Amino acid sequence: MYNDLDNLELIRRLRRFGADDPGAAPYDWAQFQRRRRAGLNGSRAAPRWRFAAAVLLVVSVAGALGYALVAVPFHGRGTPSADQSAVVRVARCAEGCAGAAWSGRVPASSPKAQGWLARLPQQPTVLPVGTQVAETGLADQIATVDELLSAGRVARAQPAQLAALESQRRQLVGSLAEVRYAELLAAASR
Amino acid sequence: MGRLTEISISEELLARACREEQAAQAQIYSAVAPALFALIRRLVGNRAVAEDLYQDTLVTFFERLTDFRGEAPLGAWLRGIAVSKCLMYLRSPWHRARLQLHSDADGPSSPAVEVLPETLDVARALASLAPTARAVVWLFDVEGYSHEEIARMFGRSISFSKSRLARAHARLRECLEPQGNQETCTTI
Repeated sequence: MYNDLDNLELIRRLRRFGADDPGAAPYDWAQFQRRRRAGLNGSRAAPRWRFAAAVLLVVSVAGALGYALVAVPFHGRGTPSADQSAVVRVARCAEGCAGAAWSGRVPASSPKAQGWLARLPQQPTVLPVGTQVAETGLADQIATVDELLSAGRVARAQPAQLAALESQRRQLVGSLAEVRYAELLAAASR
Repeated sequence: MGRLTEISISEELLARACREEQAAQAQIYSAVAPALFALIRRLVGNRAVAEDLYQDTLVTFFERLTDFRGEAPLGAWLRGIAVSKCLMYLRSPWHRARLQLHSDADGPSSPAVEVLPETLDVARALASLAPTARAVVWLFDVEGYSHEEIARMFGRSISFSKSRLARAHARLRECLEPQGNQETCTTI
């Protein structure tokens, strides 16, 4: 069992320890100023990077989304079916006539399309869209260019053609890296 | 080394520093730096973290120097900024995660040069405390804060401060009693 005297002795030792502590600054004034300037530069540069990354992200996602909505129904097919044309019209209407009443502007050419349209909300809905569409599209294009390159090398195509394909591939890889970096920065700033 | 609250800065020097005269600010830096760093190290333990908080504290101090109204000594005002930053760090999720990751790697604070055996014992005993308990002990016993002030700074109740202090005192007595086994002073 300890009494108050024990506590007083303990506090006395702690205070003596605090007073005896031969403290020293970790660095001098000049070093402090250098670190201060570095910190200011870093904190000022960060918002600019984040803003640029956010703009890049928005542009990439919007581009990829527009491409996917308009082009996907025609891939690998001859003439689009009635349902597909309804989808394309909806997509075009979403791009061109935002705010208009959807059901009144889209001619539905089959009962199935009408049912699908009836289930849509009357007002456009904002959905959070990730970068997956943009990334997938770019990865697909890189794969296509890789195939063309391989085929060109096997067929001993002209060097200029191969160089053009390689240049295109470099651009696509660069775009993919930028989208992924933008996504990283956006995730870090959330 | 004097405590922060005992450091006196002339009004003339302060006025020059408020006008952002580099020489005056450098003089104030030299006067407060050792005591400030010692306080921060005692509160957070880890030297690298203490350096970051020290830099952050001084940047805030010089940025807000024109707001200083002279109602308390300059050192006490600076101490308030430092304690606030340290407790903010101790309460942060980052600190808790770091404790989990490095609980085995972080040994006790390395003692300063030419320490007396008693000083070494106190340093070891303090290092055996958890960071929050060490901060409460230091603020109450050495810096003279009240339980109400400590509770407010931690955002907790007064009984939190009292119970942490009582447990920390018991731990320190265990470590510091002459016949005690020093090997039992491991971090709690």
